[in-house]
Amino acid sequence: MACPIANMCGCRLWLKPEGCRMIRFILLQNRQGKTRLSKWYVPFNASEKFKIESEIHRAVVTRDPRNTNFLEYRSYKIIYRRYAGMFFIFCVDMNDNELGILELIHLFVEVLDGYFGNVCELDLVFHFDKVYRILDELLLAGEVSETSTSKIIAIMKSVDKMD
Amino acid sequence: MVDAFVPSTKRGLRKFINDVRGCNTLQDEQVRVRKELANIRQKFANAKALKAYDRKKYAWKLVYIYMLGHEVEFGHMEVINLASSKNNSEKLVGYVAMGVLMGHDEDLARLVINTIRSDLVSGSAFAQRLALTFTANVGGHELTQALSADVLRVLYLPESKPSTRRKATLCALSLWRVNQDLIDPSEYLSVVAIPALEQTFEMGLNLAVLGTLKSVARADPMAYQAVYPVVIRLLEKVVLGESVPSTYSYHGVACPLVQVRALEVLALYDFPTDAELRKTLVHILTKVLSCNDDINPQSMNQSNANNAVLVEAINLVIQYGEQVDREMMEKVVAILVKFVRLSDANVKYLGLAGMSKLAQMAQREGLASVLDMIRDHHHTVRQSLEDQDGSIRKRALDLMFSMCDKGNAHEIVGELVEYLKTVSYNLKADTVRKIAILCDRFSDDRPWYVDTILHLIATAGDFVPEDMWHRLVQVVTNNEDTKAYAAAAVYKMMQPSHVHETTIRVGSYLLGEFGYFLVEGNQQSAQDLFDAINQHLDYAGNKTRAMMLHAYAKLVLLYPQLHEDVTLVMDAFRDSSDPELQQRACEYFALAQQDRVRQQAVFEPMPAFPEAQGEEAAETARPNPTPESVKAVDAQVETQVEDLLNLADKSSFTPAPEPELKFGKEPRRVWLANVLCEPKGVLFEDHFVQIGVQLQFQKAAGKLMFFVGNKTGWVLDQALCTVLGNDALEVVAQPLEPAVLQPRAQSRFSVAVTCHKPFADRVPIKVSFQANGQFEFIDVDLPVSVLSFASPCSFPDADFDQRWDAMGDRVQQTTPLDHVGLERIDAVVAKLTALKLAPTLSADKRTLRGATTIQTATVNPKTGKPAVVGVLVRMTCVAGSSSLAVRAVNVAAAVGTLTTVKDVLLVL
Repeated sequence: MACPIANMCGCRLWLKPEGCRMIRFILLQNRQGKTRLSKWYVPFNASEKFKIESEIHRAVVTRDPRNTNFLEYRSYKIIYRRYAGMFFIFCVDMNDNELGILELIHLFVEVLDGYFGNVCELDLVFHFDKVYRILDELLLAGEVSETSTSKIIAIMKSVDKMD
Repeated sequence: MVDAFVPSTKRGLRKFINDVRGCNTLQDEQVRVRKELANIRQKFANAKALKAYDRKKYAWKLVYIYMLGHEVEFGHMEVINLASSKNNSEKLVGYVAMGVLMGHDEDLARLVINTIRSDLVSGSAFAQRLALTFTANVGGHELTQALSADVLRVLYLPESKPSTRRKATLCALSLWRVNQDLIDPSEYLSVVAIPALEQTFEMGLNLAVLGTLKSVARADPMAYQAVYPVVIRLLEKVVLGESVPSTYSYHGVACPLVQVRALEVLALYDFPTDAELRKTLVHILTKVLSCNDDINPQSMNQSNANNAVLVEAINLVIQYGEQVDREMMEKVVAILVKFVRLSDANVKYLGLAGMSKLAQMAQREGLASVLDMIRDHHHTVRQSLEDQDGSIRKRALDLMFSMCDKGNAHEIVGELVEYLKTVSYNLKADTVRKIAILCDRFSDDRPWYVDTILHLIATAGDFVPEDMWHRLVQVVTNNEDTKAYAAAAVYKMMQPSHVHETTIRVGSYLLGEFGYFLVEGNQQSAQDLFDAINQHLDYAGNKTRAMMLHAYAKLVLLYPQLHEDVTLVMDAFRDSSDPELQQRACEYFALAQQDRVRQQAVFEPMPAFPEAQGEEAAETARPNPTPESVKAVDAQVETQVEDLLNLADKSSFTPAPEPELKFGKEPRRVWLANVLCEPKGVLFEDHFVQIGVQLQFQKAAGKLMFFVGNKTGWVLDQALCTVLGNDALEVVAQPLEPAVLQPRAQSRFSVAVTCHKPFADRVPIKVSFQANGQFEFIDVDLPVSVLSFASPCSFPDADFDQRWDAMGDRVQQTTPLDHVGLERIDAVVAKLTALKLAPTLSADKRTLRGATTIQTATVNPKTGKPAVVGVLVRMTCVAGSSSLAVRAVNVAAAVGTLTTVKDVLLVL
């Protein structure tokens, strides 16, 4: 059976639209629109990804800081937060809990901060591998998996010892 | 700063990243990246000689290059080898790199299955977690088919640590999205969900379980209802008690996301009937709803986290509607009102969205008091329409729409029409649509409806879709008392020297049809009507002009004094380059020469439209597959499945009939051609396997049973089949079982297909297996064509020719067939009969006529029955060659039929 949202996202999974309340993808972009890191939980092809990244950058960068952190994009909702020059952008389903995701973004930044110590854009550039690993502890398959900052950092450090 | 405690042994990677960052232009970056790619390719050519350190370094470099947006075409195998390594550090690099480089590519995923499987069964919790993480994030058909059993084993294993189980449950969810039979509700509840939700120290596990439940239980709430009281107890502990570890407290709020997820799961069920549960739930909701009353939030984060939970609780209360007491509903309204009036944009947005849900509920359940409470804040909502934030404007517009009912329809529509003057571009189409729906829904006052729609066309014509003015025409035609009013209104609208294209269309239609009211009422003369339309002829588009010609033809019949003017126009368009326009002009011109009785018969006033085609009916008409028909075929095939290839009892293979090779035909095209018109046959054969198929079709549904036989003397394992349907042909495939093919044994898999609309392209099947460690891939076409869903119909030749001519040659597809001549006509007849085309041979035995209908599962909104598409086929033969022509109203049906007939006749 074709996924009813397939027409828009190219997703080949059969998901009932009202049933999927998941994170579709995550983008970490700087103010210039360079995507420092991305994570896709549903399939998109390369050209589609590129298009989405630039469309979202244009939509987000022009917004006033006093505006909402929510933006309806295609049939999804973008929830973003800006930290200095970096935009943390989560794309979720229309009916997801907006503030929950907004604070999840902050939690992600708190974990990064706790792990790197005063995290900055360069940490994301030079230690992209660590960022991916933190993300994989925090989220899995587009769902939230662990929200304890101390536990995630403890797992990260125990694994770092192997390196 | 960073390096002080983050170990970074990847000096080479650091240098490369620095180099890339130093590039000033994109070209420089490309040059540097290409150089690095060349270097890595060279190193990987002799990967065995590389040290572990270098292998990891180059893998990271490839990942970085990929992240920069460059294509990485090699190195996947090396990365997979890293993941397969026994060394944990290499394994880690391998898995993380695979997660980035491979994306959701199913072919690549196939290559990792063995590695993942051995990690899942290994005793190492570290390897297990890496494998689960990768599988969960990638998902997809390949991994689901191959790894479901292993993932479930880890999930249900009593020894699995909470952190492993947390990953395993989300991994199972990811695979469940592909195959919904994967998770057994009672096992999942008793082994995983209930024990997890009864404790509160591993909240991460709770979060993962609730995340899984909210999807799987949504698909089948009854099967999971045993979890309901457990979720309420958990929520009670978190919201009311203090028994949550401090590490799960977020800015002073106890696990906000666990609360949110738990409330989401509760929302899958109705308000509990059990008195005890109900009391606890009301207690929890009351507590959550008052969370912002007594304390002043310490920070934005705390207030957001509280509000996240609050919004979810409000959703739940709104869902319960009248079942909760009045006090609680008033509390919800009070909170939403507070939200809407706050200056915090996010909260305001949520307030408007919540109020919109509330209004919809109140409309549905007829809660007038709630609607009144919302309406008290009409002014605030109206102001939010002008907010500088587009997201808020959109929510406000939705709320305006939801709070509209009979009582305030005129007021709200008036405000929205006013709003249309200033609305931002991206909301304009939505505003127009909402106005149209509202005044259609509350259109007791028809002149108001006509005026509003005409106003929309005049002021926002570009945003008025075709169906909107078609609906206007429908309403006017069906209501006798509106006709004169609409004619006068549209006449007035046509007066300016330049009007919108849609205005001309609706004006031409209505004046042509009902203009006579104006003439009879002595308001305008016939000449005025003609001039009102004709002044726009110069700049109108061709489609519009066609409608204008039609209006002229209607007018001239009533008012012969227009004859001269109309003939002049018709004559001018008789040589128009637009075929539609030319045809109309010629036909109307010719009709004008006929007697009046005949003309009157042609230009009868339009009859009333069936009411069911209203705006909302049209919106809900969607393709509707009928699962019953699929099941019926299922049952039939199950009873008569037989060992098609006779592999089980005979030691020797019956080879596929050696196809006669002519015209350089490939054997697999010949096999396909045979299977397309036979109920069973061989679809593919090479020195490894033979694939046979048995087909059964009934109306728009079909069931195919595939048999994959191992011809070799050794085991073929990891056998997989993948077949993906599209929107025309829905395909549901069962996995190939068993996935290990023993020597000279066979596996089977079944595929159910449903035709939703005619199609021309074939759907590919990919079959893969591993032979002696090497992967083999076979691509064949699913032997299903548009004619598989045909049911023949026959009528006399004369009848056929009439229908043939009626279709016109615009929808015709033709092809010459050089190798099929008159001498083989009998064989052709047999093939076409097998294709359900019901061929009849003409008396001179030179022309074959066939007719059939394609059955689809899409319900025709007009008739309420599944739609069928008629197809006509005509083949004319001479000695040595013939030509084939197909006509159908649907192009895909015509092309699909033509290619199928051509393919089948190829093997004649």
